Amino acid sequence: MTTHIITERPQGAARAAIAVQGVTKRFQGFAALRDVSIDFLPGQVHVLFGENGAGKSTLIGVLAGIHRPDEGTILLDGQQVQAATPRRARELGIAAVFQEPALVPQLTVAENLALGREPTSRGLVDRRAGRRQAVEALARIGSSIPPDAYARDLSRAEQQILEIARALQGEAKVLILDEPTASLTDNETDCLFDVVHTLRREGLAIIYITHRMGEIRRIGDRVSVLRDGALIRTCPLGEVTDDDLVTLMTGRQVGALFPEIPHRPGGMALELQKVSGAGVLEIDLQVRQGEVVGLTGLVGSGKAEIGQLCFGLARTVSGRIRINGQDLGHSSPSKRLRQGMVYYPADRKHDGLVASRPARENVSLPALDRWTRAGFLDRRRERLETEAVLKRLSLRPANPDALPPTFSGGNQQKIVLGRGFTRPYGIHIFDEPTAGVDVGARAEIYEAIKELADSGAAVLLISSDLPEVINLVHRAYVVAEGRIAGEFSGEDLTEETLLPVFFTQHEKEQGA
Amino acid sequence: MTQTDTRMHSSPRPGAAGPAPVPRISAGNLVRKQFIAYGILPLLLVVLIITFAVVEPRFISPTNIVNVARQVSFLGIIAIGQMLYLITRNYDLSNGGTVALSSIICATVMVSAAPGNPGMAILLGCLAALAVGLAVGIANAVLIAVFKVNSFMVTLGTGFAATGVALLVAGGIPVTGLPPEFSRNFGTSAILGIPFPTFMLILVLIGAYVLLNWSRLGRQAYAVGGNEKAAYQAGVNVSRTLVSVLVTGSFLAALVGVMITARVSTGEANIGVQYPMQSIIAAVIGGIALAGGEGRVSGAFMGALFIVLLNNGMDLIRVQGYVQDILLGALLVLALLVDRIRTRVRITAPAGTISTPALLTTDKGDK
Repeated sequence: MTTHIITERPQGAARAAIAVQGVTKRFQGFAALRDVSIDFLPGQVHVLFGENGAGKSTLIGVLAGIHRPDEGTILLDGQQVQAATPRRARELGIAAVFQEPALVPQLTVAENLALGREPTSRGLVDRRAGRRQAVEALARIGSSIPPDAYARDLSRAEQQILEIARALQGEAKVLILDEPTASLTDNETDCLFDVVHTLRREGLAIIYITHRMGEIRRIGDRVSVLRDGALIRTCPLGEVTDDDLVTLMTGRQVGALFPEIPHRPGGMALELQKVSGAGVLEIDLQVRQGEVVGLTGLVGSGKAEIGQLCFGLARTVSGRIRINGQDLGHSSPSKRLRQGMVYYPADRKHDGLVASRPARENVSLPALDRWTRAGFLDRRRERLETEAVLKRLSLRPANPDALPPTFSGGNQQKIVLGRGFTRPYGIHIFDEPTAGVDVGARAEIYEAIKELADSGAAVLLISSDLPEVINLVHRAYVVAEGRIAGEFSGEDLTEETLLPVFFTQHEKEQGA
Repeated sequence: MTQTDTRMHSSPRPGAAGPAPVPRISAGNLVRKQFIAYGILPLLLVVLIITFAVVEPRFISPTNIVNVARQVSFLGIIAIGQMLYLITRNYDLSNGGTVALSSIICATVMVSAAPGNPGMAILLGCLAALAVGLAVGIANAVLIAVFKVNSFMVTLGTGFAATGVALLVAGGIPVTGLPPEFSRNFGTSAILGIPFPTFMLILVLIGAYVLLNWSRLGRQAYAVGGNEKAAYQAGVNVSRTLVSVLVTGSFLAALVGVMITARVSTGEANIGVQYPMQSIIAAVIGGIALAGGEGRVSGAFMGALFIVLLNNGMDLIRVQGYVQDILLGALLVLALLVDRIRTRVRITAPAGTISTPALLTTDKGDK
């Protein structure tokens, strides 16, 4: 691949560590980026904010050498550069850490750091030099990860930090972080932020993508809001309020994010009595018809496992799970679907979607018997009904024949969500339905949840997103260390009351 | 970039716009869609046929066409069986052994059972041979679906075992003395002018098409192959789906065993050796993804046709067998390369821009 540096005009934007000027990028005619110009200053964390599909990923792709801009220029320290490949971009000092971890789990931290540039002596890999360089690289970002640990044994935050350390090897001037905290717990996020602060002090220009409102204020210095591929505004964070940001991003007013769901509890829909299984102990939990019940707690507290037990994905060791008063016993997910329970997994990519089949077929899969006569499908009706569901959930682009990986996170979630609308299920279990989902799609997913509850379905919402739990549910359980540590409703549903319960420990709980 | 898209100028807010602009059907777009659906195989087939037809006129003589039609029947059905395995993300390396064993069993039963009643002997022979297919299929499916053993090793093992049993039963020599009616009716006969094996191929192609596209089982098979975990969580009975599909795949191999036995009027234990690899090549050239969850019946058929035409044409112009292998190997690698590019185009293109049957987009994607 041919690459070249054009060093023509050391002009105006000398202050910026890296800048894009008038960058346009089209994919088969679609302008994913339109005439975007942004200066990224050294020693600042510059947040890119926007809905999925706004152009953030394309922009960092252009910076990191993954996409070649159709128009416009990139200036690195005021000099026009062309990063035609990711490798070239790294050589120029543009380091990028993407969402998907790119570590080799079977290798150690030091080996991962040296991957692809192993120091050699006399033609053989010099392990000692590799280890020394790894220690240096980790020390540089103030990390204490042991260099001999295996990557697979690291926490998600440590893996992220390791990725950053790897990206920063060599002379980096710019660090791009794409939703680094998406799967981190609060503690882990703190660790990561410490590293980011260290690097900012060193004078790196840090480009930071996130969907989380709270994070922007904690870490950002400046923000650029993108919408539909165009830059809406760049400014210091002090100049905008959170509401401004959401309005800029979505082009509409906030407030409507969480719909008011009237509480009209009906008969008992889902009931857990002293249920124990892998990771959870003696869970008592009830969800009535027409009720939205939250299940929250730290990552790893056992709340996700409760959802899996309910849907038959994990084995119940003791206790009872009842649907509409009927004992479930050990039944498979397919049987539970027939009994009116539907589950939306947190990991859309691995547990939810079949990437090789169109969106439409992903929606119809659990309800195929609806359109089956003597083993044969009525494809016309299947198509009409699934398309109607996807339209109702405003899938964008509205193309039910496209493959799931071509959709943004929020729209992938809508495909999974579509399954609950092909037939009237009585119980809906959501596991982190808005993780990695932008604000626009979020509002639509909440609206769908409201619609379900209004129609008399029981909703169990498993979520780590506290604002979501507090604003959406009628009642919430907090799970800590595999047990229900508290139940809250009405006035008690506040961040201040729930959060301390997250850290409940067994011993203390005995008395309560 | 040559034509600026009209959609750029539509409403800035997605979804708010009126009716979607209807994209013009351009030749480039059509070629692109064909490429995404079938890869370069249709093009290769056309090039191949024209080249051979020009170089060697006998290639398009009626005799040779009938000859090709017959040859493609066997590999075509085998490739469909292989495809059923591949769609569910499994390999079938046992189809060669299944062909061999069903041929030997078919012939052995026919020469020994119901003497003096050729009709009954033929019926029993065929049933016994097809039972072999079911047995191998069930063994494969249970090991793969229930015990979760890797299909590559499972079918390698059952294939070896089946070939071994075939050699043992026949004592290592061909089984001859079959009722002449068998060959007359099922080997060399023609229905409506179509050679009997070709007629069977057509039936199998139609059956497989209906199964995969119009039945619940087919839909579930694609889902299981594409993402087994997701299929399970969407309520698909994974084991049942796997067993049904894999047993059908092996049944087709046994069917070919019977057809070849009728064609040569002999039971042979060495007739299937080339099938495992040839059928994988045919399927892969035909766009069936080794990663599972994807592939068309037409693709598997075209892949088989391609291999048969290539061998047939090169035989006619007297290309050495070794050279044929080299060419076939090179073409397989080329096909895989093109498949990679095709997958990338499909996955990385924004959702609005490419769809299999139609372009119905109102919005742009960003990935």
